[in-house]
Amino acid sequence: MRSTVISDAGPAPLAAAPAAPDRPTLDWLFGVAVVAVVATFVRAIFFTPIEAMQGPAQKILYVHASAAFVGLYLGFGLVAVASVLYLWLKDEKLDRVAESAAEVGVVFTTVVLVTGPLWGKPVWGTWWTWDARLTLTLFLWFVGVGYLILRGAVEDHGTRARFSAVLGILAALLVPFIHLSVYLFRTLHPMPIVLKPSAPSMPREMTVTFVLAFLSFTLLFAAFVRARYRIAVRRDTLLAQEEGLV
Amino acid sequence: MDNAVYYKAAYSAAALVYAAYAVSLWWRDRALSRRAAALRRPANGGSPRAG
Repeated sequence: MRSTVISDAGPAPLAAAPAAPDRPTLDWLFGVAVVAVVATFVRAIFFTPIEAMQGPAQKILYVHASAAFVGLYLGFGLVAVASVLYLWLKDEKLDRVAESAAEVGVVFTTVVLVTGPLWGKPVWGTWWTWDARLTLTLFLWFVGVGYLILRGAVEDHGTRARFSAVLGILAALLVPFIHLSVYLFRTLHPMPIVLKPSAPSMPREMTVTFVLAFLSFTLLFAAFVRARYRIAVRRDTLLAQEEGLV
Repeated sequence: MDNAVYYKAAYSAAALVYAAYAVSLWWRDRALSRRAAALRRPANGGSPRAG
């Protein structure tokens, strides 16, 4: 029987330590993303009309739904793709991509879980309800945090990457259920108003603001993932140097 | 209907989460740079002499 060692025998050496990059971790892409997010916030707050039924609280849509699209679909989608490819190719770069995307995905999902109740209270009259969409999103967040804890707990590089890849794929399998939960179950959460087969159910100004929010959050996601990837490369290079491999 | 406080709180919370994560990236990068500098430093703590 093939056994897996968590840490007893000490970590296996990194097979291929990359060269340490001199580029700054938070670079020009992060600066562009910050400007784009601030511009989106200004447009959403000052230049986008207030919705008649919900009032100003509806503006939470631009932060909440954009963070959900980026964190759940892009973040955990990238984790799944990189994890599947890692299990196939065993390339450490793919493990680092999955690691970086998972951490940033958890950050964006945190924003979803913080802004959701702040929208739910004025519109539904409650901060939280245990319906399918909310509960599954919270569950995905826990699985994401568990993924990061797992990475910190396993010292052997190969074992860590393999276990993480499997857990990352399983976490991403929750995303389609989260998207379809509003159709499959009775839920307080509204149906999609943008990501659906027909045209968005919003006036043009609101749709433009939403698209800008999605694009700026996507830029921020890319900047965070790139920065986190560079940190992972530096960490692995340093570990290899400390182990005398470079 | 005045519920603007909720969206202001939501935007502030989102900005806080993203800013905190950016700081954590910067902090980890700085810690790695210090570790790398300590590794490059000669074992005797002084500057390497020519010859």
